[in-house]
Amino acid sequence: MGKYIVRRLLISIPVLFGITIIVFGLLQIAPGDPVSGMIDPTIGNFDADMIETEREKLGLNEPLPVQYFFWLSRVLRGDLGYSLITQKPVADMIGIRLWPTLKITLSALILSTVVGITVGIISAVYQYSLVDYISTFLSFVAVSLPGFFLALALIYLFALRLDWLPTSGMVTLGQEPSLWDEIQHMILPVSILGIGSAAPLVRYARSSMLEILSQDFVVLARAKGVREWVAVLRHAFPNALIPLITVIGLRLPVLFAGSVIVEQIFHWQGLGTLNIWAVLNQDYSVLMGLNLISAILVLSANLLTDIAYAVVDPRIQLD
Amino acid sequence: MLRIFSRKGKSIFLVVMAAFLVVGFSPLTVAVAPAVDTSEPAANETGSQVFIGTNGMTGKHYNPIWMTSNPQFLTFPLILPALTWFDDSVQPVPDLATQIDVNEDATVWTFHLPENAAWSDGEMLTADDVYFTYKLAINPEIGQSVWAKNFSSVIGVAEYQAGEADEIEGIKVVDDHTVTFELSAPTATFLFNTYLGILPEHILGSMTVEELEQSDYVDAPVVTSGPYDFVEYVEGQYIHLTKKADYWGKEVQIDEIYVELFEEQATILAQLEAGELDIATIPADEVARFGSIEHVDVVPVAGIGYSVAHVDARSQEQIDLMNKPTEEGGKGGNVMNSTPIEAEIKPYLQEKSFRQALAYSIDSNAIIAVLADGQATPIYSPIFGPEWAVNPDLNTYERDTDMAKSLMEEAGVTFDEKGVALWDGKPITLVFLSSTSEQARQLGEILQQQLGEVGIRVDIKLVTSSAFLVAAIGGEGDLVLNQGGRFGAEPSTSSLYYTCKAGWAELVMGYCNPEFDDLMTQGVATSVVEDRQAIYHEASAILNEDLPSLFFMSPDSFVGMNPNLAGVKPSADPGYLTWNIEEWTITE
Repeated sequence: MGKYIVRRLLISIPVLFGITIIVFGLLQIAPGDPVSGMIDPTIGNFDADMIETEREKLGLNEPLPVQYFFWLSRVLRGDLGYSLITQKPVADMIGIRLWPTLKITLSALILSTVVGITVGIISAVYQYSLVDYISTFLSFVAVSLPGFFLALALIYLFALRLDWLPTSGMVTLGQEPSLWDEIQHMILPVSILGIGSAAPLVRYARSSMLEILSQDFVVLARAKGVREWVAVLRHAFPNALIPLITVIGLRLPVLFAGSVIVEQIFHWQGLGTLNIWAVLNQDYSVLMGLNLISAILVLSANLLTDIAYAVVDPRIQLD
Repeated sequence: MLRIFSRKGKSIFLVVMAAFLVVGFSPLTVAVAPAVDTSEPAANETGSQVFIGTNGMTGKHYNPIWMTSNPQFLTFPLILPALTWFDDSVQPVPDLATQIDVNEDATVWTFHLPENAAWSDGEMLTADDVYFTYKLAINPEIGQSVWAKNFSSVIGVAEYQAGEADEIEGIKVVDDHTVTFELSAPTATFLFNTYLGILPEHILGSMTVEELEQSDYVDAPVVTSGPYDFVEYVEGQYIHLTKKADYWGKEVQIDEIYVELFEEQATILAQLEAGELDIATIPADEVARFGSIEHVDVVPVAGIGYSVAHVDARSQEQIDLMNKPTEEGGKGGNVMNSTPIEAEIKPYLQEKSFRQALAYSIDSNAIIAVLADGQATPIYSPIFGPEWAVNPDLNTYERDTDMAKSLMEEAGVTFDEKGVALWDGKPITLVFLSSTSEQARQLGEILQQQLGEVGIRVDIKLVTSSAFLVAAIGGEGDLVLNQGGRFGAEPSTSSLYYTCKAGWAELVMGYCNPEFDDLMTQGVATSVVEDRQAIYHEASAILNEDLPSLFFMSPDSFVGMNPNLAGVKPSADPGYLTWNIEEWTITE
């Protein structure tokens, strides 16, 4: 196992390298330019000399490979550089936003896993019952509804009409910070991320459970007179979970992607909001930093999934 | 049978899940600001709080020298006032200064400071602080070119910037409470530049620029001279200020100010609607909806910005010159990305009569009705305010399609039997370029319809905001939408757009009229309003005739406000909303 992990980590290095080259290339192809984004055309106060000075200052006049190697050599020394727009260290900008994003994505992961698996199992055990039909219907609705629409609808309902929850933000300003206040602010974004992610899990859990329930060892358990809930929970359920580990592991990158929109709508100061801001302003250094961090997170999630798979299923040998 | 978890594995799993939950819900908040003075009263113990919503912050530091965006403009006058600030009509007014004297030809400006002005740590605020701050702001090592540009007319600034002098000759500390600025050329608009918040020399004076940038103070200005104390700035979220207990100047009524920072306008509006924000700007198309919400008052403010379409009238010679390398006097192509400009030259756009024909084809009132819900003033030149500067005799280009067609014919345009306008036998097509917005798309469609009626086809091209200037300078649009500016506050603003070396004029419109440039130079060289009036009337007549841009309107802006908040006089520029903070009160 140790060897396997080391090998996987070594493979990740060229993968990361490749990702940075591709993203750097894509950023250059995109129309626009960070200097253009920096000048507010509504203020109008710009001239040719000023633009030239800014480009020179930001190193944008260097050839592209040179710009890339500047960036890479800095990153290898642990320096993500400075934002082209705010001039702040990219590592700081990402650092303070990493935690808020992890907070909602991990909470959403837990929520979606618990809800998705529970509903999926119930749905399988009571196949073709009313519960099954309702859960199937609702999970299709949840898969089909775009997250942003659901978010706006829930804000309208719970914040503007019922006034139960805040519309957005991470804390209520002007009050003593409290855990309850923070949880209130998390409920809507986490639910939206979680619901979107739970829906496919319901489908996976259901079919995985159905498959296990029809297998011989479950039939045998029942034949031996084991009570039904014991047969389902002790015998079938743990086995049905194995394929779900992959699904759950693969949800993490999806949740990160989903958080971009959810954070924007809920004014949640995480990596997603920063990402949108950096794309709109063509802040290459921030985008490259974010891309590097996301790539590392996704690769780690994949690795953890593989390891977890081997841990829970002794039939799988990683060496 | 396969068991998924060993006993040990199961307990690890439970611990990990519990850890996730704790991690997910723990009440940690990440703040960039260093620890705040804990002697401040807790928020809920004090009385009135006001929550202001605004767009996000840019700038390297939270400090007046790096001031670039609304959150800084809204808060610095409250903690680190400048010599002058701007009132609701964006006219400079004394702020820290109690009195300002100017000599007749507007070359010597004298600022008198209050004798009791003090910093929050008890030190007195003196003219030395003013000198120190100005010298720091234009220090080339700081690299904030805006201040060097603002004060380029001050004697000695250029020498100091070039490293030829250690001090700035033109800024003189007369005594502890008096400082004078001597200018190399008369500048009637000098007070538009003195909005630099004054910093404490006794805190920062001994630091090098490098030490300064590393210091806590540049992001958390805890020693202040304004009516409020700085509590904290949490990046991306909010700035929190509290009222000073014993302020040397006029006392304020509001105990706490929160300026909340947003990226999305929709989020600001939802918070305003939910009552989470007390005050925020609202767009014209939301005015009707907010008007029906009981707990939000909508206050209209006459605008100072404009909405125009610049005409790209560059000739082949001008493009060729721009494409030449800089050593040969060119610009090396598109200054934004150094690629050659390959614009299709449309010679008719260089004809004044054709541009006038475009103006006669357009109905500004229809544009105002659709885009600004009728809440805008039509304009005929970029000099449309203050009132004394407005020329009442400009051509208003009332819509007249017959006149438009005859002017087009005068420019050499012909029409086919279906009325399609032709140039050299080919149909004329103009590209309307803008950064993407619903308003821009609507304007594009109105132009399509109105210019279509005189036989001109209009294509709409919308690009992202960061690609906009690249496309505009690259010649991808013939009519380039430009909105904003401070034209209505000060007529000399036009020189930033329409003089020969201004960015828009040189790089997009290809417009250069030396006569206009001369007038603009004269306009700021006198402080006598009657003289300035005559000059700007003439200048606006030139632009009204030349039409380097099609002038549409100056839209009003709107502020949504908690009705319990009294005394607010919203400024035409949302950045100056807090200008009269001492008059704000909460009535309940």
